[in-house]
Amino acid sequence: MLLEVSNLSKEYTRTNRPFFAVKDVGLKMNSGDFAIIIGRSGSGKSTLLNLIGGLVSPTVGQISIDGCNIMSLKDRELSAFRNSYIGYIPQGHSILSNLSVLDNVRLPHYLQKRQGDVDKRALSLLEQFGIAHLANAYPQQLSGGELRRVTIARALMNKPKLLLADEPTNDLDAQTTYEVMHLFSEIANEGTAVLLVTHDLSTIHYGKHVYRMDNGELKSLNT
Amino acid sequence: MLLGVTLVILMVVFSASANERKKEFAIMRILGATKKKLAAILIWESLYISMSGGVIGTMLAAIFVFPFNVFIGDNIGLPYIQPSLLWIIAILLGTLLVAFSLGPIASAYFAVKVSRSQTYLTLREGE
Repeated sequence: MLLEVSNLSKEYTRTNRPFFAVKDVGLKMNSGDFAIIIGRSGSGKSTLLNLIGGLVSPTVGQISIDGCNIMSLKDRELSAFRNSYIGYIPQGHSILSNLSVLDNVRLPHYLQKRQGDVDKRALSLLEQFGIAHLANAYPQQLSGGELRRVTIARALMNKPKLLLADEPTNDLDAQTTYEVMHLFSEIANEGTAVLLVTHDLSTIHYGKHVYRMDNGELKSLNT
Repeated sequence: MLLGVTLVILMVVFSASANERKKEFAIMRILGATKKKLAAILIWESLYISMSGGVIGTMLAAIFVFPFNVFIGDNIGLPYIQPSLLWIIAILLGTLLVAFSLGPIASAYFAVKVSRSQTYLTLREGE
């Protein structure tokens, strides 16, 4: 089992009252799985993704990725783990505008001590996503769909085992949404587990497993 | 006092710069940068800026003071007395040391603050 989430909860205080953004969530994924979590805004989808990505600490619960309990890791170890094992696609625009497309894709390689041909890997990813010709362009020169491809390429730079995507088609047109979701399907078929959260119901048929998140609680919609 | 004013101005500048780049740092955290690395980025940047400023400043001062020392002396009504080479070197090194250290000192607080900020919350700012 690549990802095992059990009894996961995250409690916040809002207007002096406690509330659970994520409530007793359990989730399992194998390599190559493609899971989609749907839910309206405020249902806790992004919080769940941030918990799994180690960006937020849970109030209660366990998260194990490739046999490692990420809650037991200190910041340096967790950062290194995230850099190697997890590819994260944040909501909205997250490409650094002062770096070229190629530099943006290469960035994860340089944040931790790594070996390997970084240029070859980055260029092959850009090639795979059909944007190699934009390697020296800057983000301001790219369309929304192209930017999203750059974000996906960056997330895959260090060959992660788990790819987390937060509303990746939020601001894209129908055609580009189709192309991006197709890319995620291909990534999953190549062995990377993909966990995607969205409120776009038109994309759920791409997922092998579909869940619904409501008020912090996760329910499987697969029969 | 001049040093104090300079330090305050630099702190304001680095604070504004760090604030503008919060999202950038949050993204680097997501990609696997440690808190120490983020703080180090800010400190090193401020060091490079300080070093550049120190070197350019002392060069400009030398370009204007040495060739025009008589003119300066005539205008301020005091004779210009050239210090010894040893003194000049000592003043140069002391000036550079102060200039080089001001940047990192000014940015240290914000470097620590940025490294401790909540990545998740920073990403959602402005939504």
